[in-house]
Amino acid sequence: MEIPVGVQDVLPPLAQLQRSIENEFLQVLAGAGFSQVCTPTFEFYQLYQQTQPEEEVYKLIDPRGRVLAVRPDFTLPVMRLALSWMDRERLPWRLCYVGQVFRLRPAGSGRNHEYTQVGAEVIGAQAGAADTEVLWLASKCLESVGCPAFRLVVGDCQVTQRLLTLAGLDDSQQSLARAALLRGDLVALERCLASSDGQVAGEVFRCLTARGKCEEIARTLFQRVGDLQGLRTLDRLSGIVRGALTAGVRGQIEVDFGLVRDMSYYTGMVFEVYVDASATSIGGGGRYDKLASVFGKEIEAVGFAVNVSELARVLCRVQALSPEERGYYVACSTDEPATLGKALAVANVLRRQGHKAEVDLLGGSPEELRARASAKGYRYLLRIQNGQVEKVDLRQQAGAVPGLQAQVLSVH
Amino acid sequence: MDLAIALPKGRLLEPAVQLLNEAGMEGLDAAELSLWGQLNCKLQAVTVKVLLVRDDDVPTYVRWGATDLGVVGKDVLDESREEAIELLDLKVGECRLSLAVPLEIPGDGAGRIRRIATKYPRTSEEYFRKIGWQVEIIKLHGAVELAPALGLADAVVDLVATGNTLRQAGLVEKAIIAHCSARLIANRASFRLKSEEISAMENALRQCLKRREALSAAGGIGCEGAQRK
Repeated sequence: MEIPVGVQDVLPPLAQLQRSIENEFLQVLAGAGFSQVCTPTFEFYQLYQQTQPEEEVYKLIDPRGRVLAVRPDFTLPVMRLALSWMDRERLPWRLCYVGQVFRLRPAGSGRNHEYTQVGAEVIGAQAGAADTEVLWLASKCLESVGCPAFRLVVGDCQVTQRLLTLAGLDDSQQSLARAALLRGDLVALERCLASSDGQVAGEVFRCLTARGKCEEIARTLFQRVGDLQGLRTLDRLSGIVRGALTAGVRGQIEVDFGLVRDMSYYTGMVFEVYVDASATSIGGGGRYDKLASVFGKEIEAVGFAVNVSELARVLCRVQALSPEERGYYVACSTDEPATLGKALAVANVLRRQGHKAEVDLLGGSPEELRARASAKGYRYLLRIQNGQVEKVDLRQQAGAVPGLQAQVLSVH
Repeated sequence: MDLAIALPKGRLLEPAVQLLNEAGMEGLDAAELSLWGQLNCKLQAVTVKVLLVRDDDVPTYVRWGATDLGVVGKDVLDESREEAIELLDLKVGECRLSLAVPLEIPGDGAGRIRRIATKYPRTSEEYFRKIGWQVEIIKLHGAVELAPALGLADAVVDLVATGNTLRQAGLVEKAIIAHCSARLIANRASFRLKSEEISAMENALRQCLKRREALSAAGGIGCEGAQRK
């Protein structure tokens, strides 16, 4: 059965894993004072027009002929929601969300057009503590789901801009350089900088590509040319990063002024999250102090989002579910209503003890029941017969005489 | 952490291997790599697994993280549209991606050329859309230069190194679409997660390229010529 390009069915156990990741994240965020909000799945296309590349947006036409966009991003509608409804007396607003976003991708890119994001936004707090908190929260969320080694790559739009200005690039050259950084085309960046007559262009290139060492290079450079504004923005970022480290961010933090993100609305600190087993970044965020101007307002804000669809796939690969966690398959002879009642009661007791328990509905011989329970991935088979409960450990079944490991359980 | 790098079969293999050897890669040999398909080598303290794959598969291997690094022609990289970090121009295998037209077509061919044969349909389509030509693009996998003589196309977009192949087919190079050479590319996540190892390799290659440049400037000989003595 064919389905459209770019979307996928999510099957067990992946769907369950994804849901539990969402819940863990939301719990961490709720604990930090974030309230959950929902925004519509589609809104006027106009909302996204300034920030989202046109070719990435799924569009609909409403009955009056107006163009709608199927949500390509949460930050903008959450900002719209906040400005429409939230109480100015209670700043900063801490809002979080979970939901699907939709982005058209070029054919053959192998990327899904639909995925689920969990994210958080702090609106009405200036650069500094809020940025530190966002880095810390992103890290806590990943820790909460047992994410393997991850790295937060932190940059700053303003530092990057100061560096490009120092290199002697004018506005149009700067946007070329930023586009090259976004594409990851460092060869084009090097050429762009080499063509500039700025004296420190070579040093700027080294700084933008030095990853972990760029902070020192930038500081030395700003000090040497006496760029006080550059030093101020750099100090602010260093403070944010130091704060996150002091707060106990477990993932490694690497400062990289070559980091440019694909959303155009960022104005300060930006970051991306990389996980060992994933070929691309699985999330990120940053500060977007100018975004409210889309609505003719002014308010500072910072936030982040994680692609939990991709994170679930990564975790599924890394931590294959162990059979011990898979619970009980409870079987009885289905043609006796009294035994069926007993099976349902037994299953309920197990569930209250925190186990998963599924009741068999098809019946059959002991061999058939064992085969069915194993195929479904259960650890134990419980057979209820003549008021007695027989427990079979399916993992120890291979080659053993049937019934040998069976133990009799008494269930109250 | 260890690194894995994909090298392309074909014309770029020899120069890429030579360059990596000059940069201090131990245990890398083109003949053995062709024989076994993969080799375990060493660069400074880093173990590097070298894989030999089809040139147009290199961007895919790197995009999906099957290897951390890859060496591939800029022509193939642009055509693939795969996301990767383009780290370094290796300055080997230099050539041009050009529009070539039969001798008898006058001027730049605008208006006369309606159908173009190429191995690079995406890059070509983008180029002609940009310059405003309405053309039909036909994808071929080889012997592209024969297409006009066979009536398959009015012109071709193909790689040109010396221009001999074009001349023999009665074609003239009319416009350069891109200058191409081998590039070192990296997977986006590896670029972040293995930045120390990747920097080490990149720096070794940069120094090696600098030496070659100095050598060719001093001796006035092509660097590959100088290497072979």
